[in-house]
Amino acid sequence: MRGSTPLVVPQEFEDFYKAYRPKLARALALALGDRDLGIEAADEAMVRTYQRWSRVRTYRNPMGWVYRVGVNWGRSRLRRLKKEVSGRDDSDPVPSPETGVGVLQLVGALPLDQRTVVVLRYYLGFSTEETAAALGIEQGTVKSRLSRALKRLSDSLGGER
Amino acid sequence: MSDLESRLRSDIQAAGDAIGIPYADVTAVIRRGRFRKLMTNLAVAATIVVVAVGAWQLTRTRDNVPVISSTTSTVTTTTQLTEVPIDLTWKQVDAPPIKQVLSVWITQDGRFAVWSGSEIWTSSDGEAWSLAATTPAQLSSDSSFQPVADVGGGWVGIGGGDTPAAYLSKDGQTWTSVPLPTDGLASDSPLMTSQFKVAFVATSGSQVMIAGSIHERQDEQAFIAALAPDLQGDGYTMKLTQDGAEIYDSSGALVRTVPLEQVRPLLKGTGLFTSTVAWFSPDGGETWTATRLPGNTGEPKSLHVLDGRFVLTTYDSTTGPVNLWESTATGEFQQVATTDLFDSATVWDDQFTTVTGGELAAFGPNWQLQTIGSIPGPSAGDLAGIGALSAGPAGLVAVDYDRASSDASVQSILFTKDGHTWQVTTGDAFGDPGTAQVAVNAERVLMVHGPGQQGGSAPISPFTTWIGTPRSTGMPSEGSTASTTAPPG
Repeated sequence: MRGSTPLVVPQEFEDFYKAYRPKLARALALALGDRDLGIEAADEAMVRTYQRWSRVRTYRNPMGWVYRVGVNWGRSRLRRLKKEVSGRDDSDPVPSPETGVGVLQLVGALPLDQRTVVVLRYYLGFSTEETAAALGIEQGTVKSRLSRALKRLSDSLGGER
Repeated sequence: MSDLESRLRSDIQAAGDAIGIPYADVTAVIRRGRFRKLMTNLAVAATIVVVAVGAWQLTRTRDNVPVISSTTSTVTTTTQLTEVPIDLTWKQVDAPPIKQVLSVWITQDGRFAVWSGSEIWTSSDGEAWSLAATTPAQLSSDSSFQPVADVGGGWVGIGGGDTPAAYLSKDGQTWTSVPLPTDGLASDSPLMTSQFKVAFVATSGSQVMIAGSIHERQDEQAFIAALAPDLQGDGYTMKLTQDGAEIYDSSGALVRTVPLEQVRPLLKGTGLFTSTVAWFSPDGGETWTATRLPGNTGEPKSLHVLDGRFVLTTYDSTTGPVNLWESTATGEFQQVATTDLFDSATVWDDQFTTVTGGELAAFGPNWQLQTIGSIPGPSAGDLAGIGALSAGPAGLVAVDYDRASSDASVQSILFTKDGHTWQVTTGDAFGDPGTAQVAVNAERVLMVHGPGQQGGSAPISPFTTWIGTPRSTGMPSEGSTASTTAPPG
């Protein structure tokens, strides 16, 4: 008979998993431009978090760390697949009577580095400092990526500020 | 914030939250991860998701959300205060016999209180502790909130999820649960499901205020049933595309595509909403009234008592700024200010005091934000590292975290009696890196220090207990700044 190794999941990690997995998966889906890839990246990141939980649990912002792991895993996966996800669709965007142009479509067209910052700042609500810490980059880099993203979005929307 | 940023924040928040994430048990995910094989045939269809979720939220109705007129706060500098020098002496004291600490606070009669998740211990001086209560297991155990308080010589706790409840005890041993009313708080749409969360409880005399939230989202199964009533049973999943809604069976096979024009009417009035809910009791927790704050206010961020009133802050990552609310005599909240400048708050010297962007500030008359003074140390100019703030008659204490590291560790403990003169005690003086919770009463500062999760839900465990005793060292001096001390031994 083939048995499986008993799996011991700390209650604290399980609470973290339940609380953050859905939000993490949605954030990664937005950043990576694909729902299924976002979920897969979130689960992979959660597995790695589980393996390092004794340390990750002491981080000031575990969610930021897990997001970074998920983005890096997703980026690697995309490279292997040799698919550059732009989020751009050749078809027309869904017309909206409220706003006309789909901002999300334009976000999807941003480079991945800019998209990951946009998602952290505007979806997860991270501060500039938290975003920098989560991605392991300087705050100035966060600001410049955000600035370029907003400039690009503004240009696409006809100069809206 | 520019219009573009506001629009982007709103759109991406709603779109992201509308993405359906199937439930997966934690053990299943871990086991799958352990034996994961590379799968290389994943087709990335980026715009489908982005467009679909965009369509989802862009077509939902927003007209039913009340608009709150608010007072925009400004930062002004107050008249220079008299500087009071400090000689804060830290010493490690015997801790109460518990294994972990979830929260510390000051009781209404000025005692220190420590909650372990199962017991409440109190002390007037932080050194001699006595067991005051044994709490039921149903109380919320998220250390980033405040789920217990004292009222009328007894205790009140909060807990529960979909059925939130208050737990009351007069003697600290026998507890009764009182369901908190939820009627009329949730949407009456059959396509929506709601979930309640309780976060903070605060007391003033016999008045009890609980701040929590209601989280509403689309019920995917109800949505599928509305789109395709002939499909019986659960197990179907749905994916919105630019063409409409694709419905899949449990094997993942596409069973139907519902055209967009049939989907749109159902999308109206649905979405994802998080609003703060306040439960108020004028009689020590016996009777309750519930109020859902107008609009999608997001979740409560803090709850304090200021001069017999309750002050609540709410924060919605969609809208960004923190909203401040003040209670009336009947326990209803009115919005009094909105500010982008808010990291942490406490009540100090009958003022709602905040740490905002490197400054210590207080809300003065008409809720105008006024600067008291700057915070010293490496964090000056960027106070995102302040993880805890507490004040009492003895002074104000702030816990500054090392933001250069992703690990949570106290960089320094900052103490002031006037907002100008600060005493800085470096974190390594308290042993191994860790987090801290603080409370200040009339004479002393209590700090519980040890490994934990700053700003998170985990308790501090194991921990050491420190008492800081401030003494004035003479007449106020000109240009006094900060000093650094370490505790003895």
